[in-house]
Amino acid sequence: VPAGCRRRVAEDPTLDGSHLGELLRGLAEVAEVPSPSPVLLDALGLDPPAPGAHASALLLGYLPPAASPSLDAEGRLGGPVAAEVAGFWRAIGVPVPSEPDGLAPLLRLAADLSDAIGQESGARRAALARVQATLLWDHLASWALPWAAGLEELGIAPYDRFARLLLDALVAELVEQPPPPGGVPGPFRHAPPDVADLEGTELLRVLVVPVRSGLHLGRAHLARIGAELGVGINPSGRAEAVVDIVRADPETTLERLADLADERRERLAGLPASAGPVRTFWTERLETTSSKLRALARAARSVELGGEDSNPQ
Amino acid sequence: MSTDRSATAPTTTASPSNLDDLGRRVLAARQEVEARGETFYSGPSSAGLAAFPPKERWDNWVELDSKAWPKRVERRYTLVPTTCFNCESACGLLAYVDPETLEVAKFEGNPEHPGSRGKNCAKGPATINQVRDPDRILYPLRRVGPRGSGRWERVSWEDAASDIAARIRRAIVEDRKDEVICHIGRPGEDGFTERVLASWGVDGHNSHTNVCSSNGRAGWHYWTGIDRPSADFANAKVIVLISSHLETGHYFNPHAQRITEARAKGAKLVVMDTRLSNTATHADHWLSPWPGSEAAINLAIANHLIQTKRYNVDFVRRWWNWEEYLEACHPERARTFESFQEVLAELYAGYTFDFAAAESGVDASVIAEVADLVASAGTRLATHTWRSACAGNLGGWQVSRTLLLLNALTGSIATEGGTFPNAWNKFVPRPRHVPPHPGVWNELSWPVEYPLAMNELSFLLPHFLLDGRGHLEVYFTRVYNPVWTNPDGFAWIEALRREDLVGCYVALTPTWNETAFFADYVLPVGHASERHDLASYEQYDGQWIAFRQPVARVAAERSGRRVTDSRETNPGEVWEENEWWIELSWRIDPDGSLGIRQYYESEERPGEKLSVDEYYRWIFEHSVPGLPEAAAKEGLDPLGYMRRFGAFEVARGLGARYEEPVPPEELDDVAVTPLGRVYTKAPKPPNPNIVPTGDPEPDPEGRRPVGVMVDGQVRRGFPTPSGKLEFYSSTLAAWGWPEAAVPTYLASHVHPDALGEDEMVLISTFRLPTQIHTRSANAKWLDEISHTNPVWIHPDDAQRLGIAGGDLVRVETEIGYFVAKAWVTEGIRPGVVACSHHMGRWKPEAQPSGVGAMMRTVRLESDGSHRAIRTVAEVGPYDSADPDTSRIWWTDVGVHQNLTFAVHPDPVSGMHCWHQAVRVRKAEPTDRHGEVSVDFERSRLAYRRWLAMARPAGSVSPDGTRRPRWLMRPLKPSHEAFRLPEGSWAGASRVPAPGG
Repeated sequence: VPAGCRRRVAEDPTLDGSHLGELLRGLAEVAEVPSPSPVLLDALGLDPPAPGAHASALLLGYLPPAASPSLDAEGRLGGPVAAEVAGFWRAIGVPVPSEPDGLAPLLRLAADLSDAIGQESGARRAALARVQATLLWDHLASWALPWAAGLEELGIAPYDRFARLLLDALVAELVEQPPPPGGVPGPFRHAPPDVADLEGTELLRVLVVPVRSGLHLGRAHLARIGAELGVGINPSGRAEAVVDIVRADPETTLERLADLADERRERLAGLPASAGPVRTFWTERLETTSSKLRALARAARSVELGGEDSNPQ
Repeated sequence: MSTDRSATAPTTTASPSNLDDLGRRVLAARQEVEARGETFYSGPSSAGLAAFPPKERWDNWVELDSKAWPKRVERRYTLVPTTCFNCESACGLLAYVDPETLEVAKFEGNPEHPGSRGKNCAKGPATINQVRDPDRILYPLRRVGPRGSGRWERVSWEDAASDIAARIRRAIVEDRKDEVICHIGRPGEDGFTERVLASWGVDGHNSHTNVCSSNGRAGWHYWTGIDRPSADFANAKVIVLISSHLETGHYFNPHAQRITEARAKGAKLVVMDTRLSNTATHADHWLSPWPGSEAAINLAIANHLIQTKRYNVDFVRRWWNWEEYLEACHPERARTFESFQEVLAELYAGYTFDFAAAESGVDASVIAEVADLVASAGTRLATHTWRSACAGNLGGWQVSRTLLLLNALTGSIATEGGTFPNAWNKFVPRPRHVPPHPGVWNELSWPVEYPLAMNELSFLLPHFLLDGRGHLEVYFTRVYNPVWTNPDGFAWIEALRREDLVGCYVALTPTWNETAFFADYVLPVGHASERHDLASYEQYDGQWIAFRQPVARVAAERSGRRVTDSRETNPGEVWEENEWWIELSWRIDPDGSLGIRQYYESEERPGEKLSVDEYYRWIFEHSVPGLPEAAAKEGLDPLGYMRRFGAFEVARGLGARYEEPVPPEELDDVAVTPLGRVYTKAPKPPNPNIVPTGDPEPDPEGRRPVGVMVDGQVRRGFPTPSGKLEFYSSTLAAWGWPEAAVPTYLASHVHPDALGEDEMVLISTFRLPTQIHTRSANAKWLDEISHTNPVWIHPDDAQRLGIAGGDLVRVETEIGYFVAKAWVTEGIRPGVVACSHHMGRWKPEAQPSGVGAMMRTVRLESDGSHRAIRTVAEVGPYDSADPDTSRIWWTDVGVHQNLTFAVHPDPVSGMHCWHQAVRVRKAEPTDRHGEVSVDFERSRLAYRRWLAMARPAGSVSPDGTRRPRWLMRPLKPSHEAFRLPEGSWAGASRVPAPGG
């Protein structure tokens, strides 16, 4: 349905109305293509990426631009989350793309729907609007807002500015949407538990699972903490890297991670009311995580102090 | 990460109006770029392995040289489209040509090709291996010494052409027109070679089709008048494949990508394949039937639809020739549709799930489940079968006929997600000249025994020659290798060695093959990037054309060089076929007195030879609707457009042609038969698309069939005698096969009842996904992946026979045996063994050249009736211009099993029925892998036994002709030539009663 309604701009240069759809389409291209057209970048006000910046910002240094790493109970790419998003594509009768939960295809779909809604009226418009609301709440904004916030923090040009634009554009789209059923987006209704009941190494490993910790924690984030501590990052996986750097300096590292969670929480708390259901979920998770990390940091300090006290001298 | 709190405070920074402005800027930029015809959003295709260079940059494409890594060295290419020449699909390729040296660096997919859409299988990119093959034939060669002695001398094209042309001219002038035959392997351009032969006035076209797809075609042709399926896989709800079509076959790359799309949308895939092929592993329902029982399963599904009344009643009423059936077979019944429904239910009542289960070995509950799935498909049922079970079995044409019955019952014919007759999804542009069909009939290709044969009985040619039925002055093979590809290769060797049977044998081939070793001339023709062809194949509900072209020539022309002969830019003296045929035809008739030269003379430069540019320019300017306009939009002429982009989509979404009302201007002095066939005196409107279909005969007053009356309206209908879907084939009934006139189940020659107690069935028809017959053996990447063909055997059979994996086994056929390695696997059902036909290449020890990576060196033994090949040397590393040949690590190149297969012509379709009844046992201690032994007398006896199963035209023809004239035939001789020779017709009195 949306593909059939897609505007053929080259054939219809007089289109007016909202251009948010085209902005989403442009952002999809930047998310997906390592070297987007300079014309597009210029229009978006983005600098051309340095060689390799796409990979270091979006693939290797951070979490891949897809729903599943954010929403999967184990932080996996693909799996049941991707399958669920694929089901959504099928349900609306649109060919399932090769990466159904990828940011770029989802943004393009949102753009096509946005255009189509602008062109339709009556029952068809209402039906398309319902599809758009489901797409945004359940499969796009639910994870892409905190994902973008974490990407922006990395400060890798032009993806920091790209992240801000993405965040702003999605928030602007949400303004138009009715709240999700029950006020809670689909992925959060049966979300796995937060980290409140976890301890020790298990807690540290789950820090890299965003849907549980609330924290989108990329290798680049960890590398920066490691650099502050003067330790390298375990190349085998982010969970192992977290465990390693905490072992290197438990108190400092745990405090630093808690700071990170608090900063992210503050940032997401600033989301406007239109993004309320997303804001609530992620800020609550981040608050829990921060509390746990600070408790752990205190415990680490007391162990350290206790060790000194036990010194007979 | 940022610690700047001011940056975290307001999460959103842009107002809606700012965002809208940004979107407006992006839109404006997009409009500007797209208005120039350039790509703005390249999307996922520009990332990773699916990257396609934007077409606006094809003239000057820059890539980093991977061999220079870690240095960043730029290499410039001009990108020239062509089409693959390995399998028949004609997928788009993009050649990366160095503009300075004109060398091709690599081949990738052409994103502008509507069929393949930029995707290729392994064989496409491997074209570069074929171009650079160090063993390829670069110059014309002439035999020195006896045929097959392996001694050759280099000869000029001119000398070869003069000799061959003189022989052909003599045959034509001396009225020995049946002594010129051209045996075609892979089609290059639809109809090109046929038109060459027609221009010579000879009925000399001999296709390979009767060892390939004739049975699959026949089942379709008798139903629809068109001879192959074209499923709209992408939009199907249920897909039924009787084949390993997702991984191999026609046209698996374009089809597989659309099947994958359908599955992503929730379509269900049913695969009927005795082997656990890669295709079967993707199925929602995999059925592994006993070979030959597939039609029984189809009929059980059909019966389920009929008995539960879950078929499309209105479609059947409107489009089946049920009235003709009732009239011919049940004259006692009322001529009403209700009456037909009753008969239909009675006719198929015996095909229960239990019956199908007993025949096939597939559980009845599984068949029932599939039947329900088919019933749920509505008009979105896509089915496909081509070779596989059709090609394997006696009566295999009923496999495709019964599969199409499912479409005919569900009304899923030419519907969205249904199955189309291929001719509606194919566009063959009319060239400037279409010579008239010949006035002679070649009995060597179209023998009187097979009046209903779908294609020439080409695989029987050596037996006919050995029988003394004729002699050949000139015999061509064109990219074909009958000694290796056909059954009974020793018969071919026998005939080709004898100059009294074959005066001059010319092998047109890009690479050495087992048949070329016995040639008088070996003439090197081009690979995918070295020749012109115009192709169109049915791959979705649309029509496209694609242009194969010599890419170095095009690159040279882009840089301003004028090229008039493809040899100027091809490797060595490799020549494209079109220029060769033009040259040869000109030499046959240099003064035009034979009426041949007129077809090869330039219109632009009278008195000079036609150039390929002129030939194609005319076609693209006059016969491809929409192309001139599309070209003009690009600022190109039509030929320039095709040279630039390589493909053009003529139409899309054609839908059900049979439903089209016939326009009033085509209805003049109309006559309507009692069964509703409509004939008109109005001339046929010109049609630039000359795709072949059935051609029903005019009425006695000379009116042409134009449509059929359905519910009071004249609709276009099908190109069948009735104009409808022929559930009942009056042709089959009238020409001696009344018992098979409706879709039915014919027991195969490998039916369990026909097997000896210790016999098993050998399936030999399956391909390997990365090879394509003999064509691809000179592609080193493919050879490294696939170079052998073990015999699949079930663990139960292996245990019974005391065979372990890797053991050598003897597989004994009715005429001999071959020695191969066993592969013990549960991927084959008990009682059946399987061996791909793709392997076992060889060269005689006296032959100096071959295909080094794939041909073992053998000794050909011939002693009385005994024939054999004995291994002299396996393959191994060798020095050549390509350092990779010194790295060949394999020695095992499989076995040439086809040598041990007797010919099995189906008595109706003429198709060779490939499945074999065999005995399998452990090899003798002295047996060597790859060896073959045959008793030639037994092969001759088998030939005679199968020949005797035919019902010759002389005894079954209802009208004294050799063949129903409406059936398709590549060359269709004159009416006079269709008549049986005086005294050879038994008369119409013996026509069997219809029904059965």
